[in-house]
Amino acid sequence: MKKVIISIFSISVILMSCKKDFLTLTPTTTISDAAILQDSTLFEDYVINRYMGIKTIDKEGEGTLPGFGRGFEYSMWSSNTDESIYNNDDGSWLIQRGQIAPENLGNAGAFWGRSYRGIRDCNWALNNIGSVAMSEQHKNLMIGEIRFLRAFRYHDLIRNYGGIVLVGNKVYELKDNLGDPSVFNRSSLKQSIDYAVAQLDSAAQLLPKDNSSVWPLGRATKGAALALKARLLLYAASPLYNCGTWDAAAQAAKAVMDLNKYSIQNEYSSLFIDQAMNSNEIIFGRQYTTTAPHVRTEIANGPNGYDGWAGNTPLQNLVDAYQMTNGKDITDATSGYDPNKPYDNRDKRLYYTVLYNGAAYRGRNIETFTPGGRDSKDGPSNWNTTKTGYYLRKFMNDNNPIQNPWSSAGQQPWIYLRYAEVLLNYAEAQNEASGPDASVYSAVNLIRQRVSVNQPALPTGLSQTQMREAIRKERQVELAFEEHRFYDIRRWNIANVVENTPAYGITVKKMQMVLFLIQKKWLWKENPLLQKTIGCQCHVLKY
Amino acid sequence: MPQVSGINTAIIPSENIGKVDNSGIELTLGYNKQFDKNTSIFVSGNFTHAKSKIVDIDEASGTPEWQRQTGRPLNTYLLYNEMGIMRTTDDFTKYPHPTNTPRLGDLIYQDYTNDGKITADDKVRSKYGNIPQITYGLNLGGNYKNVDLSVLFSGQAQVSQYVLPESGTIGNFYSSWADNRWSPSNPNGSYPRVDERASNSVNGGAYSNTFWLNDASFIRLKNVELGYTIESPLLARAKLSNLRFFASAFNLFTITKVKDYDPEGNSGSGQFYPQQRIINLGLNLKF
Repeated sequence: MKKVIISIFSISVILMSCKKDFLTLTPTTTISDAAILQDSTLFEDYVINRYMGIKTIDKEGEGTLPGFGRGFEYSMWSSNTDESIYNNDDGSWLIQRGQIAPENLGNAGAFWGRSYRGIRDCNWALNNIGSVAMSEQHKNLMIGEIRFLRAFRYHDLIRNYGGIVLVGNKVYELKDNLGDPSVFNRSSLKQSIDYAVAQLDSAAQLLPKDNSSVWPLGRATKGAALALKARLLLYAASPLYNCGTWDAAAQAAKAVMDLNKYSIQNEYSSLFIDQAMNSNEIIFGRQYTTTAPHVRTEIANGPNGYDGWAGNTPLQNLVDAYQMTNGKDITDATSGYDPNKPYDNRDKRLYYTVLYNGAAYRGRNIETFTPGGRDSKDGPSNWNTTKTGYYLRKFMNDNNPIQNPWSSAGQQPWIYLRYAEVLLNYAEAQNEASGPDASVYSAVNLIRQRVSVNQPALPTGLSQTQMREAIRKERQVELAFEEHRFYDIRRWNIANVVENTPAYGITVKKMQMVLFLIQKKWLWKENPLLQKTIGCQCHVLKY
Repeated sequence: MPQVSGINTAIIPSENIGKVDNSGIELTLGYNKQFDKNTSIFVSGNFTHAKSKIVDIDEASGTPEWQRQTGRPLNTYLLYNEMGIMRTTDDFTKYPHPTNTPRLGDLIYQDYTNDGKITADDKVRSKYGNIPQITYGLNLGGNYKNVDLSVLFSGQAQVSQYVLPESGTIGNFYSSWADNRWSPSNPNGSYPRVDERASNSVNGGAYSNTFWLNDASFIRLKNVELGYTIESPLLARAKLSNLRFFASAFNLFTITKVKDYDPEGNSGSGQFYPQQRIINLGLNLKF
């Protein structure tokens, strides 16, 4: 008996002593660097995942990880400028109030960390792609893709911070001296843009013109690289940046137009809700699926009377920017604008972008009037009612339920680059470079005369200054809510004016007594004293 | 870790770093006395003084001394020092304010760095955190003939708790704030003006400050129980060996400076369920 016990004991000692490094495990929850480099499919997946970034702040990455910019989040980027106000703060109010400070950047705090992480990830892929077993042809495509992704990260940094730290191909490791001053050496604005543009030039050389079965929709193309370059060069030439030429910006936009691949889609509103992203107007966008959705836009922005949460509510400041169908501004005495019927005969993009009192929506008309309006503070859940009198229409897919949307909604594409922007970039740069020539008119009119918009062509004989104003207005309404306005008014050096204009809303009073049978709603436009009204005092835009 | 390095989430594995020294004393004293067959008393008290001191924590090396966690207890707060309420427009020029648009009824913050501006550098770390350095209890009671009594007090001291309830369009105001708020019709109110949302108000979450920091010391009558045991030959006939009536109560009263909420709560947004006051009447039967 004793012998048996001793032998069992000795066997177990031998067994245990076999495995000396039993504490050194290969993690099963993450994939090691080595594994990625050994498997070309894994490597490709790794690179494709760089279209997404990491979540660095609260209130972002709802549904899936954030991509570039801000995109579909609860508080959209539009709510940091004079387009909308987000009803529930989420890091947007302190920007609207001008309380942004280094220790609290609100929802603008994501770009720095997320972008540099993306750059590091791209650098790692770029430095190691040589050892991946893959055809040279495909390798070159992917090198172009990685450079594009990296440049997009720099674009996010540049347009938010100006001149930034250029990391090159460096992949920082923990053993590096991260306190070294070179880690924090900011390049000039010109150096930063030159670097990103050079990367995009190189990417455009390598990337395919079209998506295909081996290069599915959503992955970067030549057009995407050139369009991003055009945007950066437009920024560079703008007054705030002042480190490039309008001519270079115009040429860059022209290069996208000369691809003869993109066109203006007839339908405006469907552009923003077609999950398949089947449009020749979209140059680069991000698609979503049921299992990888974004914020359920309809409930997040819907009126309280529909059980929505109001979300990003458009400002009167934006609504007033839409022209009349005769092509005149509402401030023009001959425009035919009637303050008592402010939504009649307006640029159709207003109807595609904004829900206003009386607008048809899901089988009834919007009721922001008081007393009694279902979408006003007299409606249900009055904390979810709009403070501006408007709700967001753009991006809303009427096939999605507002109530209980969790398993179906949140799949609209987020469009990073589309042809209308390129045309506007071209028009702006060309007008500055050589005045309002025929090509400038043509580019703007293509957008104005989109079949479903059908605004009159710009009047001929505009001066350069008048054309500049016309293009700026066109950008404001055409690209509303697409993360342009915030940067545009800064690069034009007009943010200190337009963002210091009080944020207007509208209240709609329903006539009492007999009159309401005849004229049901009477609109009353708020005066600038709105900011002193309780509940609105916080919405003075300041920078 | 500088973000420019790109080394952040999921690149570095989670790790325990930091070092905290804890020191303190713990005392328990008890006394029991049986005077005679009918009378006994007991008293016992406990007292704990425990102090934590952060020796090493992941803290930027440039952090100013008055904001450092190192050398201070755990769970302290970094807050602006509140110095009153702006009651006249003269106050706007007299005191620096964090925004360009001060309003009457706003809190006045201390310009700790004396640079004429309210910036993040003016925040000061609180002396105490929300872990009490002193906790104590006192348990006493006794028997006299058929009556028995036991009482338990407990308390804490040297502790702070920040509570700013979400109030405004979302959430309600505590009545002490609502009733005593500054307003044009109540210019002497002891609380700042109310705002759309407390959590991002210039007087609240946007500039977290000592107005909302409370000395969470308290002494509380945690438990009291009074009993009476009936001894009667009738019990035996009813086949009972013992019959006792009692009345007991939990949380009968609390002495504290904290208004509105439970000083034992530890949520900065006031989202905790308060302890209940429970009064029981009952009897024990033994067969």
